[in-house]
Amino acid sequence: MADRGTTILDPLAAAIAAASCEEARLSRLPLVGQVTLRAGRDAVSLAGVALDLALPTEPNRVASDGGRAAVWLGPDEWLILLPRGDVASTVARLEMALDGGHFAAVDTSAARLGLALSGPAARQVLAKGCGLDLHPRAFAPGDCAQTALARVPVLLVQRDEAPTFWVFVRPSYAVFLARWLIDAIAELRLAPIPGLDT
Amino acid sequence: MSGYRLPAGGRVDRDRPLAFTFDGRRFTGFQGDTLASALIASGERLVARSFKYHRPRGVYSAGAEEPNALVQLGAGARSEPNLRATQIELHDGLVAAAVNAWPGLRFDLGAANQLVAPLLAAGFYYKTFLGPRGWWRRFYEPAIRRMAGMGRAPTLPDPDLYDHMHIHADVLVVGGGPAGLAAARAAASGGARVVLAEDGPLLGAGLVDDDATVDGVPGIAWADEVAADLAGRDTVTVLRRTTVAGLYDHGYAVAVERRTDHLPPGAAPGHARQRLWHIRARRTVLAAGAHERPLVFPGNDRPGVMLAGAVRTYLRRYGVACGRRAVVFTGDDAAYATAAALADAGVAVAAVVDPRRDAPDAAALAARGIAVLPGHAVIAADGKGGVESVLVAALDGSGDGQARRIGCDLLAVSGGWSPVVHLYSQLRGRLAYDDRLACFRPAGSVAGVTVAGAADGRFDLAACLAAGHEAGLAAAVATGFPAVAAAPRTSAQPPALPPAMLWDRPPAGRGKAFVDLQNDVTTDDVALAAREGFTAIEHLKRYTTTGMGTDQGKTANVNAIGVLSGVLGRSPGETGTTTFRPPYTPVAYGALAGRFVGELFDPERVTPIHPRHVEAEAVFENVGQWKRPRFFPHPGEDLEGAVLRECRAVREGVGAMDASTLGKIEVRGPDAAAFLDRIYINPMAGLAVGACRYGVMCREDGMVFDDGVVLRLAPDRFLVTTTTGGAARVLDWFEEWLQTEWPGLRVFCTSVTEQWATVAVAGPLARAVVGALAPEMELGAADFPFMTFRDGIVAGMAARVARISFSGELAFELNVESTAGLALWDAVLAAGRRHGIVPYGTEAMHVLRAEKGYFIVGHETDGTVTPIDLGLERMVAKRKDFLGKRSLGRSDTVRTDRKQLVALLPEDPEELLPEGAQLVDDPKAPAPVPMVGHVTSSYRSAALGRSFALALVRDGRQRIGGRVFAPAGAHVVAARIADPVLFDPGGSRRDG
Repeated sequence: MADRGTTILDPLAAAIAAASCEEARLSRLPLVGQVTLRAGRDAVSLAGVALDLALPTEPNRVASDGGRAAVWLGPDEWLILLPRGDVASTVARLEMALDGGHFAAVDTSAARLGLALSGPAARQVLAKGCGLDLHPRAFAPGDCAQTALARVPVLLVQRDEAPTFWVFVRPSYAVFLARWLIDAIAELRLAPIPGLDT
Repeated sequence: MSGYRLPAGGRVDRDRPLAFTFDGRRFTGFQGDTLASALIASGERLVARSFKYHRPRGVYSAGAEEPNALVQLGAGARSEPNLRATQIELHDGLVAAAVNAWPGLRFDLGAANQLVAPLLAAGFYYKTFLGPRGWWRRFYEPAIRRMAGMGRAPTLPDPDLYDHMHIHADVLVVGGGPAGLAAARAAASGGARVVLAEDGPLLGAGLVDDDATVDGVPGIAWADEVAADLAGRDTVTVLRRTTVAGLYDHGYAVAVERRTDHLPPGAAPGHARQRLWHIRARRTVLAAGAHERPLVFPGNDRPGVMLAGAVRTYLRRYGVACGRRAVVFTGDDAAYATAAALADAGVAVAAVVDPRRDAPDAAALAARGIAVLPGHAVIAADGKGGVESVLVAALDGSGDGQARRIGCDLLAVSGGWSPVVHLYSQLRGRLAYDDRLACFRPAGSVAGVTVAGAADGRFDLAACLAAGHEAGLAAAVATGFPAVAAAPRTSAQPPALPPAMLWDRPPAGRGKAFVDLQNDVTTDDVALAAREGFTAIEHLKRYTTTGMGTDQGKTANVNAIGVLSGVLGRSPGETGTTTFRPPYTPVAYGALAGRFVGELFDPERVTPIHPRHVEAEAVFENVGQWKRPRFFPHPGEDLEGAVLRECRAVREGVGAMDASTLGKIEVRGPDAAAFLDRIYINPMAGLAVGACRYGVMCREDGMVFDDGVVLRLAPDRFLVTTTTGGAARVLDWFEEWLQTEWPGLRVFCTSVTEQWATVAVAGPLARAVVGALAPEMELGAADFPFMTFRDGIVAGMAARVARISFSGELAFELNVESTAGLALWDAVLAAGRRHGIVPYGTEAMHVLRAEKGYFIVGHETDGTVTPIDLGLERMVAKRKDFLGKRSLGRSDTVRTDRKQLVALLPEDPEELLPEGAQLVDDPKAPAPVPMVGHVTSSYRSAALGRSFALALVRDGRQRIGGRVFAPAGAHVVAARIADPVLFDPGGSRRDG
C-alpha cells in the first residue's frame, strides 16, 4: 500500500508538541504495524516459532525483540507490534504455520494509534484519569494493561523507567484522549500553589 | 460584643492581617484564622438565622460538625451556599453572608415565624398535604420555599477548575489527629505506601488544645516532628484540607482536597480548585475523631452557647476568647480543661455546672478560684440576641430549691462525645450503644478496616496514641511490611469519670430546648412525634427532619436518640441509630465532574473523515459516542431543505456518505460458518466466498437484537458488520456464547471496526463515479452483482468494494484502511464532481431507507419486536437452530395480532406525524383510549412527494388500507395504513 496514511491526530501535532514539558513529554508514535493474534492453546508455541518471538503467557506482560513486541491481551490474544512493511509477510507466515488450527491473525495496523508519554510526572498525569496502580512497585517496564484512561479504552505499555508509557487508543477516540492529556499536563507548567505542599 | 482576640497565643500570624466582609460589613482577621474564629474575635455573636424559626444563632463548634454558622461564600459565579464558617480558612478579601436571613441578619423578617411557631411543629409540612386540596401548590409550597431554607445555588457557570486523581496505598489513614498521626507514622515506618487524609490545614492541630507531652515534647511539637517524618518519605502522601467523603467496599475511598480555597479566588490560575481523590487501599485506619455533643435545655441555641471543646480550640489555636464571663455546663471531664484554659486566658469563669453528683477532682479549678456545682444543671439560657444569664438549679431540688441566676455571655457546654462513625457506618459496619460512654461505637468488624482512637470511643490522648500506633503497625504487617516504629509515650491522664446525660430528665425551664439546631427540632417535637407513633428512629428522622440537612445531625443525632428514648422509657441502645450514607460533608458538583466538563464532557468518537465534515459545516448528531454528520446544509438551508436535497441527489444522481462507524468483526476459524448459523436467524453457512448476505440476530427471547451484512472472505473467514451503536455489544455477545456456551467451536472474533474507513457511494450514477476511481475493476451488474464484493485498487489504494445498498439505489461501499479514509473521501468527491455528487448525512440515510421499508434497530425495534413483527418471516430459517428460535414458537410470539411494521400515509400529505406518537382507532373514544400502536419514524419524502411514517400497529398487515389516528399536539392526524415498502418495491434500482 502506498504510504498515504494520515491520522486523525495530524491536526493536533502542534498542540501536542506545545503541551510537552520537562516533567511530561507527550508525542505521537510513528505508525506501526499491528497484528492481532488469537491462538488456542495448541497454537501458541507454533505461533512463537513462526514469529521467532516467544509469546508472553504471563498476563499483562510484553515480550520485546528489537523492533518488535508481543503484547499480552488475553489468555489467547496478543497484539504483535512490528514494522508496517512486515505485516503482510508476518500474517502469511503465521497462516502457514498454523494452517488448520484454532487461530486468527488479523491485520489491525490502522485500528489503534499510539501516543507516548514520558518523564518523571508521567504517572501523575495518567493517575488523573486511570484507576490502575502505576506505582513502580506495581507496574514496571515490560508491563501492559488494557484499561480506561479518561473513560477511553486504552492499551497501556510501560517501556522504560523514565518512565515512558505507550498509550494505544482506537483512532476514533484519539482526538479526545490527546486533548485530555494536553489538559492534564497543563498544570505541570504552573507555579506551585502557595501553602499547598502535596 | 463579647468575643475578642487575646493579646498573644494561637497559631495565627498576627503580622499578616486579612480584611474580609461578612454580611456587608468589613472586618479584619489574621492569617491562620477561620471565618468563624475571625468573626468571634471581632465580637460577632449573631452569625446565622435558623432554618425554620429564623432564630438568632452564633458559632457553635470549631469544625465539620457546625450546625449553625452556614454562610454563602463568595459572589457571582463563584458564590457557594451553605459552607461552614468553622472550616473556611480566612483569606484577604473574603466575602461571605448569612444564608437564611432577609433582608439581613440583624433584622430578619423570617423571624416572624417564631410568632407562629406552634403551627410549625414537627410534621406540619406533612399535615399541609391533608388539604384543602390545591393549597399545597398555590400556598404552602411557595410559602415554605420562601421562608425555610438555606443558601442559593449560583446561576452562572462555575469559573473554577476541578480534577480527579487516583492513588493506591497499602494503608489509608483517615484523620490527622493524634491517633491518625500515630497510625500513619507506624504504618509508614516499615516502608508501606501510606495515604494520610486530614480534613484541616494542619496535622495534629488539636494537640495545641492539650497540655500533655508526647515523647517528651509538647503534643504540637510531636505532631510537627511526625509531619516532617512523613513528608520526608516518598512512600507517603499526606493530603491536608482533604475530607474523605465516602468509604466503599474493598478499600475504595473518595476524598475531596480543597487545594486553593485558602487563597483569594483566582490566586492560583490554571490549578484545580478542588481535587477528587479516588483512593484504593489494602487496609484502612479510621481515626476521624469524635464530635462533642450539646446538652439539651431551654434556650440552648442562643448565641454564646458553644461546645466546650470548641471554646478551648478558639483559645489555643486561634488566640480568641469566645466571651468575657463564662459558665461551663458539662457532664463530661474534658470541659474542666476548658474552664481552666479560660481562666488562664483571663476570662472570668463564673461556675462549672456538672450534673454528676461526684464531680471529678477539681483541684486545678479550685486553685483558679472557679466554683464547681456538682449535681446541678443549667435549666435555661436567657438573653436578648445572645446569652446574658443562665438559670442553674440542683437536680435533686436540694439547697433552697430555688434556681440561681448567673450572669454570663458565654456558656460552654459538653454532653460527652460522639465518635465519628460515619465512614464505618457507610461500609455497613455495625454500631452499638455504649452505656458507660453514652455513645454509639463501632461494633463487629469490617474487612480491612480498623477504627482507632476517639472514633472508636477512646477519648483520651494516651488511648488515642496507643490505638493509632497499634492499628498502623497491624496494617503495615498485614500488607507485608515490618513493624519498625516504637509506640509514642504521653503524660496525658485518662478521664476519671464517665459522662452523664440528662435525656430522661430534661431540665424543666421555659422555652424551646433544641435537639437539632440546624433543623430547628426541639424536645417537644420529638415528644410529639413519639405521641403520633413515630417511635422508630428512622421514622423520627423523617417526621421531624432531625439529623437531616447539610450537617446530617453530627451534633444532633445522639441527643435525638437519647431524648426519644427518655420519652419512651427505654435505653438509647434499644432505640438504635440511623445509618450514615456518603458524603460525610457536602461535596461540590464541580469536584464530582472533575475535568469532564465542556469539551471534555464525555469521550467523543470521530471517523478519519471527520475533519472534512467539520470543514463542510455539517450538522452533527450523537450516535452513541460517535459524532456523525446528520446533514450538510447549504447556506440558508434548514434541516428539511438539506435532507430533501440530499435524498433527491441519491435517488436521481449520486451521493456519498461516511459509513465508517458501522461495527465490523472478523469471525475466523474452522467453525466460523457453523457459529454464524447459530447467531443469525437466517442461514449463513451456505454463503459463497465473495458474496454478502443481510442477516438479523435475536436474543434468546426471540427479539431482534442487531442486524447487518455478512461478507464471506474465505471458507473460514467472515466479516460481520453491525449497527453503529451495537458494535461493542455484538462482539461481547459473540464472545459470551463462544466462551461460556460453545467452547467447543473453534472460532475467534476480532474487532476491525476501526481498521477500516467506509464510504458509501449511492445513486443511479454511482457506477460512473466508482468506475473513475477503480478503472481496473469490472463494475457491470453481470460481473459484479448486487450483494457481492471485490478486493481491488480504488484511487490507488487497496480497497474492498461491496455492492450493498441501504438506500434502495445502486450503491458501492468502498472500504480502505482507516489511515487512508480521508484520502478516499477526497477522491470520491473529486471523481464525483462532474456527476454532481452530494455528501449526505444520517438524516437522508434514514429517509431513504424508510422509503424502502428498511427498519433500524432501536428505531423500529425496542427489545419487544420479533423478526416476524418486522415482516421478515421468509428470512427465518426452518431447517437450522439459532439463538431465539425456540422463543419464536411461544404462544405470545406466534400471535397474529402482534404489533407489526407498516407504513403510515397521513391523509394530509403535508402533515408530519410526530415520532413516538401513540396510535388509536377512535380518537373520540372515552379515556383510557385503547392504543393500537406507535409511530417509529416519520419523514418528508422527496421521492414520494409527501410525508410518510413507519409504525408498529397491532395486526397492522391485515389492516393495510385502513385508518388510524395520532394525536399531534392540539389536533389529531388521520393516516392510512400501507405496506412498508413505498418506493421501488421490485428492487430494480438497487439491482441495476
